[in-house]
Amino acid sequence: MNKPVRAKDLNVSQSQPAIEIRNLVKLYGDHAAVDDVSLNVDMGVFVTLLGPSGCGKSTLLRSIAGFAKPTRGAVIVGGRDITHELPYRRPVSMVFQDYALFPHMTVRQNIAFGCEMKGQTKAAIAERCRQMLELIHLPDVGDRYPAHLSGGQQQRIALARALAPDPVLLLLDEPLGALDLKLRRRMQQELKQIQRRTGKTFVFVTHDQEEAMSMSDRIAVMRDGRIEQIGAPEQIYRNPATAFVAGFIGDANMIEARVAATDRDMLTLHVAGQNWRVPAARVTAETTPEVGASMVVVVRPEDMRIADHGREGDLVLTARLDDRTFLGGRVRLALTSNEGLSLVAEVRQQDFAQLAERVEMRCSPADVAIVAAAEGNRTNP
Amino acid sequence: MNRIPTAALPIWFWLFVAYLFLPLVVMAAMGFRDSNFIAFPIQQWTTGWYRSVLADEEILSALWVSAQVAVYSTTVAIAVGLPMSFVFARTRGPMRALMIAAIVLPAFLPVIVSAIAIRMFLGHLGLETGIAAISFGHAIGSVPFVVIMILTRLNAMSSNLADAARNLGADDVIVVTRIVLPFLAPALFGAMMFCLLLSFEDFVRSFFLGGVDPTFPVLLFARLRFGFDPGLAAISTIVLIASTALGLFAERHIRRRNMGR
Repeated sequence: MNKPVRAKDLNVSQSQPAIEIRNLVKLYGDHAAVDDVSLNVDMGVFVTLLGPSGCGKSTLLRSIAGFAKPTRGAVIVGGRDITHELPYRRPVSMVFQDYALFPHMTVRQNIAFGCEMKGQTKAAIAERCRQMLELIHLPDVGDRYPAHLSGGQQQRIALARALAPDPVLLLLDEPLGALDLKLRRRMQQELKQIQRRTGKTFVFVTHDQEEAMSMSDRIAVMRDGRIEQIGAPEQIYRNPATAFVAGFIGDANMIEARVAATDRDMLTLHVAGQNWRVPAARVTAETTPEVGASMVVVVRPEDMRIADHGREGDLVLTARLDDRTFLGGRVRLALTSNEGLSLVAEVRQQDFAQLAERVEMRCSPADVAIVAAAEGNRTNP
Repeated sequence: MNRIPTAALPIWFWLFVAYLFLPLVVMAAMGFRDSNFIAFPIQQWTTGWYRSVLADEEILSALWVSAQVAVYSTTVAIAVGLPMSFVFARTRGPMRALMIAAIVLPAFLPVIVSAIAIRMFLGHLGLETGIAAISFGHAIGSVPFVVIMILTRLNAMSSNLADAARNLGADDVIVVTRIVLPFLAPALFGAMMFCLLLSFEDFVRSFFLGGVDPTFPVLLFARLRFGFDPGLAAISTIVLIASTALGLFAERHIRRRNMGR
C-alpha cells in the first residue's frame, strides 16, 4: 500500500531512473507552490502529474525544465544533477500548452531548431526532420508555416520539435488543453502511441483525471504542492490513499464511518447505523487506525450491487431511488439511503429491470477502500 | 440609417476622394505648363520644368541633406526605441504606464514648442545646428512611434516562445537574434519606413535646427517666398510619387509578412 507523499515504486527496474526529484521545494514568498516533493520515474515510463489548478504540477514541471528555480531540493535527470543548470543546457524538452511554435519559421525550421543548437550536421538534421514528420504522420507539411496548420497539426509539430533533439525526458504541460473533445481523445491515443514507439520518458501534466487514467503508466496525484499518492492508474483507482484522491479520481461514494474496534486482521466500523467488519488490509494508509478515528469508506459506483442476495459480511444499505440515467448497457442510479446518504450506483440494464421502489444496496468488504476522513483543506507552512 | 438613400454614401465618399486628390492632380499638371506662372487653362505643354528641377543643384543637394537626416534620425530612433520596448514589455504595474507616458509625450507636444526647446538646449550646450541637430530632433519625434509599434508586436508574442527556444538549447543571444528579432521584423520594418517618411516631410524641426544647408521642405519654403512657379509643382510631384511608392511598398511588405507568418 502507498502512503501519501512517498513514492514507492512497486515495479522498480534495474535501470537508472530517467528522473529523480529529491525533496523539491519552491516558495513564492510565503507560499509553497511545490512543498517537499520526491519522485522517481524509470526510463520509458509515461508518468502524469495530476491535480486541480494551483496544485503545483506546472511549477514542478517548470522546475524540471529550469524555468523556475527551486528553493530547496534536487533535480536529477539521467543520473546528472541539473538543479543549477541553465535551461538551455538541460537534456529535457518541453511541449507547451500554446505550442509556442516559432511563427516566422517553417515547420521544418521549427523541428530543426533543437538539432541546430546541438551543432549537428545539415544532413543529419534533414534526416531527423524527415523522421520526425514521419513519426507524427505529417510528412508533407515541412515547408509550411505553423499559422497555416490546424490546432491538432500544430500540436503534433510541437511534439516533433521537442522530440527531435533526442531528450532524456519529455515534459508536456497540458498539451491537449486547447483542443476540442473529439480531437483531444484522438491525440491522447496518438501521444501514447508515439511514447511507446520512441520509448521516451514522458512527464505529462493535466487536471483531467480521465485523460490521466487513459494515458499513464503511473499517476502522481498532487494537491497543495504535495504528491498525495503515486501509482498505476488501477492502483490509484482501487486503493486511493486519501479521501482527496478517492474524490478526484473517478466517481466514488464516500460513506462516513468511525472505528468501533480493532483486532489483529479485522476492523469493526460503525457505519450507517450498523457495525461492519472489514479486513484491516482495506485501510489504504500504512498505519492501522485507532479506535474512535473518523474514516471514510470509499465505494465505486460499479461496486454497489442491487440484484444478488448478497453474501455474509456485506454492508447493506436500504435506499430510495431518486433518478436514473441510461448509459447504454448500464444504468446509473442516484439514490438516498435511509440514513440520508446520497449514493451513486452503476448497474447492468437487466438488473435494473427488476428494481423496486426501495432497494437494498450491497457492497462487499473486498471492494471498498478505507481512508482517513479529510482533515479539511490543508494549509501550507 | 436605412433612410439615407443607398447611393448617397458612395457619393459622399467620392466627393471626399476628389477633395483629397484634385489639388494633387492640378499640381502635377502645372508642372507641365509652358510658362513662368501658375495659371489655368494650360495652353502650351512642356516637360521642361521636370527636366530642369532634376538638374537643379540646389534642389538635389537639399534632397541629399533630407535623405541623410532621414537615415540618421531613423537609426537613432530605432537604436533608442527598440531596447526601450524590451524594458517596457518586462515592466509591470504603474511604473510601466508612467514610463510609457514619458516616452510617448513628445508625440503630443506641439512640434514647434519642442523644436524651440531643443534649439535653446543645443545653444546652451554650445552645439551647432545642422544635419546632426536635425537628426536628433527628428529622432525625438520618432521614438514614440517606434516604441508603440514594437511594443504592440512584442505584446502579441507568447512568453513561451523564448522559453521554448531556451528549452531547445538556445542561449540568450540566440533567443534574441533567431527568435525575438525575426518575430519583430515586420514591426521594425514598419517603424523604419514610418520614421523615414516622418523625417523627410518634417518642416518645423528642420527649420529651427537647420544650419546652412536646408533640407528639402525648408528649401521649398524658401523658394515659395519668391512666388509659385511650375518648377515647384514639378518637384513636389516627383517627391509625392516617390514617397507614395515607398509607402505602398512598405505597407504591402508588412501585410504580407504578417499574414504569411
